[in-house]
Amino acid sequence: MTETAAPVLAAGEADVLFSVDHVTLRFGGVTSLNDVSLEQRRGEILAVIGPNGAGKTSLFNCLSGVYVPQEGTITFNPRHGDPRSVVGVKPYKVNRMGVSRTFQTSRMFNAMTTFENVKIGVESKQHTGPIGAMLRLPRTRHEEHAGDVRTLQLLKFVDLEHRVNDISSSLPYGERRRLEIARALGTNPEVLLLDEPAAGTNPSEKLALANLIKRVNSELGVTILLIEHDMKLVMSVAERIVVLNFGQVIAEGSPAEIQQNPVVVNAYLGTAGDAGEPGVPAAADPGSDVPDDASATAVDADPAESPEPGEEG
Amino acid sequence: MTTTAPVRGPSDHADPPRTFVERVSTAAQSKTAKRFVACILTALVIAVMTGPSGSALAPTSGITGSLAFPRVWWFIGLGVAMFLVLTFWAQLGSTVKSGVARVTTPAKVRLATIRDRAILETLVIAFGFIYVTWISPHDTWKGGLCIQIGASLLVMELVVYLWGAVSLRAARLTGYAFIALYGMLAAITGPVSHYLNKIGAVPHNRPLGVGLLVIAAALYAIEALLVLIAAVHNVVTPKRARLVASLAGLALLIYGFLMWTSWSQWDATTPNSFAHWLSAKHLLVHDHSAGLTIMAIGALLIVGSFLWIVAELLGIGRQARPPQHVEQFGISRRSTRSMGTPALTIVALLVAVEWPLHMDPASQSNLVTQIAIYVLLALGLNVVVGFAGLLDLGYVAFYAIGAYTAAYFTGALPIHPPFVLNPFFVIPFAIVAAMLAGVLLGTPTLRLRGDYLAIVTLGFGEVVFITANNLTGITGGPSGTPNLVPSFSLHIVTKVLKASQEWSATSYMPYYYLILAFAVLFMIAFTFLEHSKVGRSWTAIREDEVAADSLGVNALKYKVMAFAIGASTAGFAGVFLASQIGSLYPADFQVQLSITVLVIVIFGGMGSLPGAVVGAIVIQGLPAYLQQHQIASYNPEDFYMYLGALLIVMMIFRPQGIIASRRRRREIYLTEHGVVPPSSGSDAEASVYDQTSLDSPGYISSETE
Repeated sequence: MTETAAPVLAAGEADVLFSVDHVTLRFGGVTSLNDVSLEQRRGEILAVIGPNGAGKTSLFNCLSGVYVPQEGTITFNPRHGDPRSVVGVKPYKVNRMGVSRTFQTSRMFNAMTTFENVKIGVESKQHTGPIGAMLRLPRTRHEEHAGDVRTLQLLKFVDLEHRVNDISSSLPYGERRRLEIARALGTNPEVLLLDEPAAGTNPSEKLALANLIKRVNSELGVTILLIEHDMKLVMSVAERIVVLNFGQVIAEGSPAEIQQNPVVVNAYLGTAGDAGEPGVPAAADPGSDVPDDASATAVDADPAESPEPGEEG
Repeated sequence: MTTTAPVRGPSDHADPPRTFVERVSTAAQSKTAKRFVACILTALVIAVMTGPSGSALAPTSGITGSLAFPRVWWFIGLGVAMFLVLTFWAQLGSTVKSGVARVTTPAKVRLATIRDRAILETLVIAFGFIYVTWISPHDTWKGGLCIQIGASLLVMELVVYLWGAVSLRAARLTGYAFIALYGMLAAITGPVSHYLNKIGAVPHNRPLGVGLLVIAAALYAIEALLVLIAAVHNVVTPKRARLVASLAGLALLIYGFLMWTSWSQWDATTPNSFAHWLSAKHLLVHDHSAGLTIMAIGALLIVGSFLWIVAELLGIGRQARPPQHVEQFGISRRSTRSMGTPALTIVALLVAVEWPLHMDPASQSNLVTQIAIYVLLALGLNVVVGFAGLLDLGYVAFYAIGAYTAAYFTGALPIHPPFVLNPFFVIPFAIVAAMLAGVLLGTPTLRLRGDYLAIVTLGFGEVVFITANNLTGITGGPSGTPNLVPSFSLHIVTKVLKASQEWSATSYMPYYYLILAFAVLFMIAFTFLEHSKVGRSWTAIREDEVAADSLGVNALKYKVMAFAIGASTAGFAGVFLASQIGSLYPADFQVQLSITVLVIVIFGGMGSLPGAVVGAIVIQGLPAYLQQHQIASYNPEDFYMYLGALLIVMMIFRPQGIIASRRRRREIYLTEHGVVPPSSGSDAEASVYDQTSLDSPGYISSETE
C-alpha cells in the first residue's frame, strides 16, 4: 500500500471524482433512474440511501459499467489523467480506470481460497501473459511474488490473515463481506463502490465493518460510495448522504440534515402529513413495515457521533 | 383392541389394495421395485452389448445368442448384485468408509511426516521389483539399480525419522555411501565380492556396479556443491541453481550423445571413438533410445536455463523484490493442486519411459497411434473445457488444420508450398495456423454462452471436415493426400559431429519418446499456467463472470486465450499424426474424434492434467488392448456405445472425473450440496499436508537446512 497519504481536499468543492449528470435509465417502460444528478468529491464517504426499489443498485451498475443509461453523462475524474466518461465502457475497463465495487449479494469465487479470491483482484492489472505464465519467466515470478505480498497486506488490513487458506464459501457472512472489500481493494481503486456491505451481518460485525470502511477511507485514501439500509452504519460512517426515491434524488446533505428532512422521512414511512413531527412517529410506530434500523435512526443516531475524517487533510 | 388391529398398518393412510392385481401394481410402483427392474434390464443390455454380433442374414441371432440360457444367468446374477449394492449402498458405504478411514488416516498422518521422499523411495523400490519380476525378468540391471538406490535412500529417511536429531544431510551422505559400497562390490572382483556373490547378496555385474558408483559420485558432487554454495552465500539463489542446471544439462547431453552415437553410424566411421573406449571400460552402455532421452533432458535443461539467463540479462521483470517473505505465512499452494505428489510423478515417468520398451510391437503401435496422440489432444482440450469451462465440440477441426498444414509444408498436398520443410520445422507453422483458426473462431463466438458455443464449434468441426473432403484439388479429397508426409528426421553432419536419426512410421519407440517428451513439456507448461494469473482468471470467469468482470478481468480475452492455447495444442498433435500415418484422409477428422477426446477429459477429470493422461490410457488403450488380445467379445464398432454408457455412469457416480482437480471437485460439491466439502474444503490428505506444513516448522527447517 504505497498510497498511504491521506486524501487531500485542497481544491475543496471543486475536486470532484465522479459527476453524474441527468442520468436516466429505463428498462422497457420502467424508469429505474430518472434524471439523477450527483457529485462525489475526492476522498469523501458518500452514502446513497433510499427505500427498496429506489434505484440505488441501478445507479451503482451505471457507475461500474454494467448498465448503460439512456440519457445523461457520468464522468470519472482520475487523479492522474483526463476526465473520462464511464457510459458505455465495459465493466472491466471501468475497473481499470480506478473504480472498484462489491455486490449486494456476496459474489465470491466460492471454490477458491480466501487468498486466491483477493489475488485475482490484485493480479488483474499485472502484465503476465500466457507465454510468461507457461514458461515462468522472471517477470511472471516477480509479479507473482509482488501479488502475494500485496494480497497478504490486504488480508491483514481487513483482518482475515487467519483465513488465508480457507475456502471462501466456508467463511461466515461478516468475514465474506470483509473479504469482498479486500478483493475490490486489490485492484487499487480510487473509488470503492460498496453495495450494502452490512447486509446479513450481526451488530458486532457491523461495528467492525464501519471501522473498516473508515479505515479504507482514511488510511488508504480511497473515496467511498456506499449503499446501505442500515441507518446506524450510514449515519456513523457517511460524510454526506444522497437520498433516492423512485429513481429521483429527493434530498442531499450531511447526516444530521438528512435525519431532520421531512421529505426523507416521508419517503421511508409513507405520508407523514397528519402523523405530526417527522422522526418521532417512526419510533412510536413499531407496527409499520419499515426496517427497524430506519426507525432507530431518528432516535439513536447521534449526529455528534458521525466523524469527519479527512476534513483536516 | 383386537378388532381394530388388522386395519392398522404401514399403508394406513391410503386405501388398502383390495384385489391381487391392485396389490401387485402398487408394489411395482415402489422405488425398490423400479430399481430392481432397472438393474435387471441394465444387466440384460450389458449381456447384449458383450454378446456375439448378429449377421446381416440373421440379425436377431446376436440377441438370441447373447441371451441364450446358461449365459444369461450370469447377467441376471449381475443385475441382482447391482440391485443389492444400490439398495444397501448407504449401510455398506458407511461401513466400508469408516473401516477404510480407520486404517488409512493414521497411515496418512505417518506418511505425511516423512512426506514425499519416503513415498518416492518406496515406489522406486516397488518399481524395481516389478521391473525384475514382471517387465523384464532377464534384465536385472535397471531393476537392481532402482531397488538399490531406493533402499539406500529409504534407510536414510528412516534414520532421520527415528532419530529426529540427525541432520538430513548427514543421513543423505550415509545413504550415498551405501550406494557407493554396493556398486563397488558389484564392480570389483575380489575375495569379498566373490563371497557375497556366492551367497547371492550382490550380483557380479560390472555395468551395474559402475553405474551405481557414478550415481553415488554425482550425488556427493551435488551435495558438495550445495555445501559450497551455502557456505558462500547461505542460500541457493535462482541464478546459481540455473547455472548448476545448465552444467548438469551439458553433462547429460554429452553422456546421452555418447550412448546414442555409439549405436548409430558413428560406429562405422570411427571404430576407435571415445564412446567405444568408454564402453570397453564398462562406463557406458549402448542404448539408443535411452541415449536419446537423456540427450533430450540435457538439452531441455540447457535451453531452459539459457532462456532464464537471457531474460535476466535483458532485464525482463527486473524489479526490486518486496522485502516481505510470503512463505512465512504458510500459504497453501496445495489447495489448488490436483491430486498427485512429486513422487508419483517421478515413478509415473519411470514407468512411461521403461515399460513400453518391453511391450510387443503391436502394443507399441497402439501406444503411439491410439494413446500418445490422444494424450496430446486431451491435454489441449483440458485447457478449454477444464480450465476455462468452455464446451468445444469442434476440437477436431484444429487437429485437422494442424495436420493439413503439416501436409502442405512438407509437399504432400496437390498444391505446392514455396518451400518444403522437415516436419520438425513445420511445428511452428501448424501451431500458428491452428491458433489463428482458434482466435478467428473464438473472437466472435465466445461472446455466446454455454450451449450456443457448443453448437457453433460443432458446426465449425463439420465445416472443416467437409471442406477437407470436398476440396479435392487442395487436400486430395476423400482418397487422401497424394504424397506421403515424411517422418520426423534429424541429420547433423559436420566434421566433428555426425548424427542422424529418423522417426520412421514403422519403428514406434523413438516416435513414442518424442511424443512423451513433448507431452511432459505441455504438462509442465499447463501446470504453470493453471497456477498462474491466467489459470486463476479462468477459474474466476468460470465461477462468476460478473464478479470477475468487476475486478478488471477481461473475460473475452481470457476465453479466446484458452481457445487459442487448446487449438494450438491440437495443431501440434496434428503434425504428429500427419508424419506418423503419412497420408491424411478427411475421415480421420470426424466429429466422433472430438467427442472421444471430450470423454477422455471428462472421464479423467476436468481441469486435471494427470486425469487427461489416465483418461486417454483407459478410453483409448483399453479397447485397443481388448481387441488385440481378443478378450471378451469386444467389437470395435460398439466403441461409441460403451463411451456413451461410460459417460452416463461417470456423470452419476463421479462427475468430477477419475483424478479430479481440487478446484473442480470443490465446485461440484458446492453446487450439489450448497456447502463447502468437509474438512475445510479439501480432502483428508490435503488437510494433513497443510497441517504438517503449517504446524511443524521444525520439520521444514530441517528439510531446507
